[in-house]
Amino acid sequence: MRPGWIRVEVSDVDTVRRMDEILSRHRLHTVCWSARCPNIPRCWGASTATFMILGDVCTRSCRFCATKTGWPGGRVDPEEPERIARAVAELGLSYVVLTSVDRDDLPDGGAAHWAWVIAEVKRASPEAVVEALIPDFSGKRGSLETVISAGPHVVGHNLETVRRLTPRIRDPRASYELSLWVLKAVKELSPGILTKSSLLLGLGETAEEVRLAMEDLLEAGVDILVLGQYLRPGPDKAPVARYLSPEEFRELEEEALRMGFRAVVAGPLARTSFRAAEVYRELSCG
Amino acid sequence: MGRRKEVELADIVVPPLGDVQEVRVVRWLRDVGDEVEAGEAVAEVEAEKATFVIEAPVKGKLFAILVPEGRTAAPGEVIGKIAEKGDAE
Repeated sequence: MRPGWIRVEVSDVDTVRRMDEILSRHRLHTVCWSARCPNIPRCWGASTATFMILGDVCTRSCRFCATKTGWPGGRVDPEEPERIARAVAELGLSYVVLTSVDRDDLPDGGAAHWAWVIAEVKRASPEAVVEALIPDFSGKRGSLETVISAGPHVVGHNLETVRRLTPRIRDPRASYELSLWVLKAVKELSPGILTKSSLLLGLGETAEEVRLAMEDLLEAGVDILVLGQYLRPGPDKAPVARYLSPEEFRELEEEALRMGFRAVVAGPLARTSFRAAEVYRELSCG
Repeated sequence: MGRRKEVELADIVVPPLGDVQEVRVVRWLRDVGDEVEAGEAVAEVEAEKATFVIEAPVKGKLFAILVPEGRTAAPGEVIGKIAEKGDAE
């Protein structure tokens, strides 16, 4: 039984529908849509969305995620960068979150396309802050270099869950160590960049395992931590083991700040892009 | 001389919720005929991940419940109507 706090108020349906119309007209994918994110009414109502690039078919299949799995066979839409840039400009976004599916079918994992999208967005909206929530690129350092050279302001990569549960929850090609490596490598390549990572809680992890994962993320130089409740996107996905209360999230937030993260976003409906612009402003002004 | 009062009907709509095919109407928080304020919660619908509280788009009277409790609706579907009394003077 889902607790009462997993509730979202829908106040501005017209703005949500307008956002839906703009995204459809530009033929853009969002992770909000693919992941059936409960924050859609809230975020789209405030005209923000997380664009998902490189198509909507992921080469990996994680047990927490609703995105379609397949093998796109190396196909990439060359018009996507311009369409995204146009949509960002039309929406007047000052903070843009980009993410992508995993593209193990491409030799560079899609890094060149990533760099192209970031460059187009920055060209069309020079004032916009760009956050890139990237895949692991199978640990290819050259791919990370390509993305970073395009100049994103924030780079996120999600650890998703604790070490013990990773093989059960994430695709076999993903790994706990590889994700930490990605975060560390981003900091090495560009020490000034803000890095960010998320953990989904309620998958069966213990409090001690969460603390260890937070230590590992700090060790990897992560600046911003996001902690949210795992919500099953469909009956064929991993079940929710436990719902953490809003109070538990507040305690975890305090603990993470004490441990040394520069910013922490924690709450039942917190997701990587949730409050992203606000946190960036706080950190870049402080 | 006063003109005839026109009753505008505003839609209560399930918003786009992503790649979700249907939601279940869990509860109507107001009955047909009740006065509602704009922004007041009128219905709760449930998807796989969360419960969504749908608010009245305008002030008026709940005129019709088109999808009753326990039934399903698709995102974008109109589940109820609010009679907004407009006086065209």
